[in-house]
Amino acid sequence: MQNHSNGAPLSLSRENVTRLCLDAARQDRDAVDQLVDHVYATLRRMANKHMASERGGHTLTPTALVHEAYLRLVDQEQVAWQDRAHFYCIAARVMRRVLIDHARKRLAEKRGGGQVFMTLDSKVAMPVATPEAVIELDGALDRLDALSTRQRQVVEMRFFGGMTHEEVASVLEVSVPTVRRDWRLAQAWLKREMTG
Amino acid sequence: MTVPDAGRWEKVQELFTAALEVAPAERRAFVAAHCNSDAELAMEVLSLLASDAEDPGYLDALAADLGGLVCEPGSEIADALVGTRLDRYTIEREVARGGMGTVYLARRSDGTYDEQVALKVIRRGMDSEQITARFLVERQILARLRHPNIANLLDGGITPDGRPYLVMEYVEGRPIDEYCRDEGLGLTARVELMRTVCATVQHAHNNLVVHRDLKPSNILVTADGTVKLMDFGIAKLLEDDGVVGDAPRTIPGLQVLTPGYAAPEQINGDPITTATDVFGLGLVLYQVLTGTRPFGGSEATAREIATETCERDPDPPSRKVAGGEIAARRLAGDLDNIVLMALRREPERRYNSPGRLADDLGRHLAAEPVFARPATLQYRTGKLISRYRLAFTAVAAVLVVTVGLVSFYTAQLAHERDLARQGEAKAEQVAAFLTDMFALADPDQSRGADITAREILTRGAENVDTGLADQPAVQGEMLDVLGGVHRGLGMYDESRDLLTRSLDIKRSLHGDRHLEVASTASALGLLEVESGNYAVAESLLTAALEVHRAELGSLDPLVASDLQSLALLAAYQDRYEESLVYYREASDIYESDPALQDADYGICLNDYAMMLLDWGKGDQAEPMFRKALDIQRRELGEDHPEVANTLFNLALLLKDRGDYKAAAPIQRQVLALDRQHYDDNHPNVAHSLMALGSTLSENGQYDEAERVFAEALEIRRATLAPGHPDLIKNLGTVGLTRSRAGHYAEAEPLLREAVALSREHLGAHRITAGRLDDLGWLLHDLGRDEEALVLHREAMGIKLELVGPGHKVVGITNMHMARAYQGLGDLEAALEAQQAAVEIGRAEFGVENRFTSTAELGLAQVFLKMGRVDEAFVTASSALENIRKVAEADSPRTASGLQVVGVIQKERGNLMDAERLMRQAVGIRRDRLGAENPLTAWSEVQLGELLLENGRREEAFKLAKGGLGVLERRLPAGHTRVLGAQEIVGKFGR
Repeated sequence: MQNHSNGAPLSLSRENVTRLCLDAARQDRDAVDQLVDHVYATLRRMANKHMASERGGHTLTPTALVHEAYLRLVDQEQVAWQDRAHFYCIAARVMRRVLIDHARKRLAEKRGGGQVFMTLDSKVAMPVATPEAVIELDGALDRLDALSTRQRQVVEMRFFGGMTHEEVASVLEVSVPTVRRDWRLAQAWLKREMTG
Repeated sequence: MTVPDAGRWEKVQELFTAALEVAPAERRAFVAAHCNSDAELAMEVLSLLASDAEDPGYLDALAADLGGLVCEPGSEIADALVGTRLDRYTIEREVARGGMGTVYLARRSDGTYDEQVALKVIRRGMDSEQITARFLVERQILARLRHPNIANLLDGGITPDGRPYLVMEYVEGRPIDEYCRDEGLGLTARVELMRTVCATVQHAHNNLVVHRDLKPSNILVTADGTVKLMDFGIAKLLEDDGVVGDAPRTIPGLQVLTPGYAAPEQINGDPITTATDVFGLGLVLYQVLTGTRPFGGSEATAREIATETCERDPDPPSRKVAGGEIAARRLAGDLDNIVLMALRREPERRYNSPGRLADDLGRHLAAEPVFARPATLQYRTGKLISRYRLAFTAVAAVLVVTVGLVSFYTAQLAHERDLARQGEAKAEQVAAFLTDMFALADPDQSRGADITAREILTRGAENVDTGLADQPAVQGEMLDVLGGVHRGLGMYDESRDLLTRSLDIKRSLHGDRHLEVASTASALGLLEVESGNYAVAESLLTAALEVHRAELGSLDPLVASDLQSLALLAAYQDRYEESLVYYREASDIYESDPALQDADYGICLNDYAMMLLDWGKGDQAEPMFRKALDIQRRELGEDHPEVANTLFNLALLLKDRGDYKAAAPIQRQVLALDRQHYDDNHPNVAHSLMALGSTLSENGQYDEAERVFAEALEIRRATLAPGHPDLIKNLGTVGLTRSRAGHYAEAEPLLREAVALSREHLGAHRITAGRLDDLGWLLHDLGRDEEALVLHREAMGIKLELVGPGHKVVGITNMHMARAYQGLGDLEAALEAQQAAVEIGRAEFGVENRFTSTAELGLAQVFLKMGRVDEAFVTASSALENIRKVAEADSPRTASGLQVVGVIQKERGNLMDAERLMRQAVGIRRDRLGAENPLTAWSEVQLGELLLENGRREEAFKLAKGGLGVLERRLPAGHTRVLGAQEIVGKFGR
């Protein structure tokens, strides 16, 4: 019942999700779409719960959310490591959507920037993930797609899905050094797009 | 910025990637040379390279901050606490603001004290349940960490708006790096300071706390030079397995980290362990030594630092010394190695603990070889040789090479494991090789190892820890070898530690019923027998025996070996018959096959014979000893430690017979062999000293005996647990020898200690009974016969329970009781006890035995006191005759016989014969015991009394007076013999 408020499809069983995950790994389009919808619903629900909580919100990162969603949705004993990577790949795309939605909402509410942890002697500033920055990244990623779809995917998976180079390489069926090279160039380009 | 099309983008990527391989300074030229005058391409690539160089961790950092997007901003940064009062504290000003809270300077204002304190409050907006919980954990952590170098927790509470706060010792100090720089500290002072820091962190670890945020600003040094460790703000309690509790994997982004001071595992979200603090200490040490940070330049961003920390080996400190505070050449070598070892990316390859790091720093200061893996083999070998040049023998040189090889192979092994997982076959080969090499360090095989062996072994053990951590099969084998060698060197605690770890590893690999497990259990079981932990020993050995029998059949030498250990265990527990059964079974196994009659059989025979000797069957034991000696000399050579063992036992048998002249030289030979084979504190050295001392003592050479015993006692106290039978026996023997030598005041506390320890640790044990007798014997001499009798009765109860009536040890207590009864004037009881002793002696050992003749002389004295002089004379004369058959004519035992018969003759009126006998006794005693011995003096006094009756007043007075002088000097005032002598000298006045 609780799913309906988010407009999500009926809840899928763990076995079903696992099945979908395995099918998705074999490039089954339908499976991928079903999985995306289901993961989206789950992530939205989880993210909303955390984001709505003013106090505890900052303790969960999107990466952690993706991980948590995975743990909830998939029977891990049935899924090989490579297949898990496919789930993460899908979840990363979904997470991007979730976050952008959230950032837009925050921006609309005009409620200030992000939080940077301070330490007693921190002289170096960490980049700040303001809603503006995230929305800008979203646009830049679309432009990057025009140059190289693979690089866009690499960034998406690593940035929103928290995947390792190895996991990304496995999903894209390229070598790890290729992923590293893609990531490095894409990052330099995106940074220039966003700050330059 | 133009957006190039996809085809062009490939060129951009190609050139961008290639340029990254080139040194930054040469990239511009590189790009220009490779873009064929395509200026637009060149600009695009250079622009991207610039963007990359600015922050190669940009996206990671942004991703890590995504949490911020979903986080409510702290709406109330400005805090209204300043100027207010919290409980007893007036808040004066804000001192610092941290990730979780704000630190204020406050003053305790309840009028009793006027002290400044630091007050730490969670920042408003940050007081989520989780952060609050973390804050409370800090309070709990600090409360358990009382240490002079840790800022003390004084108090804590809740603010009116519900935020928890901590009150801490306010430390006015400077960060350690600033302190070193401003004070211009030299290298040694800096290293010493860091050793204190390491020890403090070790203290935290001992209390299961990791700091996780070590950095100079958290390590303050006060004006008087005291180090204070601050801010356990992100400290964590460790679980038992040494991994930080709460979550097996900290989720990235959940941690509050200080950029530049986070370890790779913190950045990657891997488990945090004590090794994380070792890394932190490495960072601080780096900064204290060089004035710079190892990762990232002064301009580096947090992400750049993080990336470098995870991906790059830091430069050695000697190459990064800034400002010339410390000369680079003083850092090159050891300190470089130490720092780099602490900063290894893989936690398991760092120092195991801050303590180890501190130890290595200490070793460096002491110019000893450090543990941090050296660059080359020559380094280690060279350094050891320079330190031990004088002590070095050819054998020791071989040992050094061995260690070098061990380090080398261990490192190789780890390397290969990582590379190809070649694993077991190779590893076993190497382990077998090391087994052989290490065996050289066991004096049983090397004949001449010295202290360097310990050094070598300690390093070997450490290498196994660090180098083979995830190669458990090899690790287990190496631990076994090291455990065996440590045991051979008498380092029981270290050996137990190593073998126990091996057993744990093997059990988890193979389960309980496996030959590998049984082999370690056998070794550990024997060690526990030798350490006096009998219950543990029994369960280990029984389990090992069962597995060995099931897997190898009942006639296997390993079965025999377990049986021997069990026999030893039974013997130590006074289960004699059981012990003999085990030995017989073991001996039968060896006898079943001539091929088995090797050195191991020699050991078995020796132990079996020893047991028989202990059981009073010396006649059966002697041929066994001789057979064992033959086998061992044939198999092992003339001066092998096992030969020494058997010689030792043979000497014991000879001594028991009273053949001191044969026993003592053998014992001195054994002692010399032991000193050659083992280091000074080895249990065997103590054993040999005890045995020699005992022979000397019984031969009347009390002074030398006392020296020998005292040396043994020193070793035992240093190496044995207080409840160990050998320590207790040793205490008793030293006490007895001291009293025989007349040093009563020093003897009594030792004997009492022995009784107390024995009662506590051994209970109703034969050893306890023996110590009770010893103490009673002393008390009788001091005229405290009632006390003595109580002790002897307790001893008798124990002995009757253990061995039944009719055993030699029961006879001994009978004799003691007889003496006490005489002291109390109960001559009937004395006679009964003494007669019982004589009967046991005659029945068990025959009339020529030392015990029997001593008992007979005692009986004669009781008869004499009762006025039954003829019975006294017959008993004493026959005893003297028997003594003369076995003992030397000038032995103290002969003197005792002469003295007793002389006194009896005097009572019978045969004064001339009495004088002749007593003069002989005095002569022997002066020769053998010395003029200052109380026994000599007492016989002089008695001779004086006789001469007075014979009318030779002048000589009589001189003898009696002289004797009394000695007695008064050597014995306590109330001693029966002092009183007796005073009475006799008193007669001269009348």
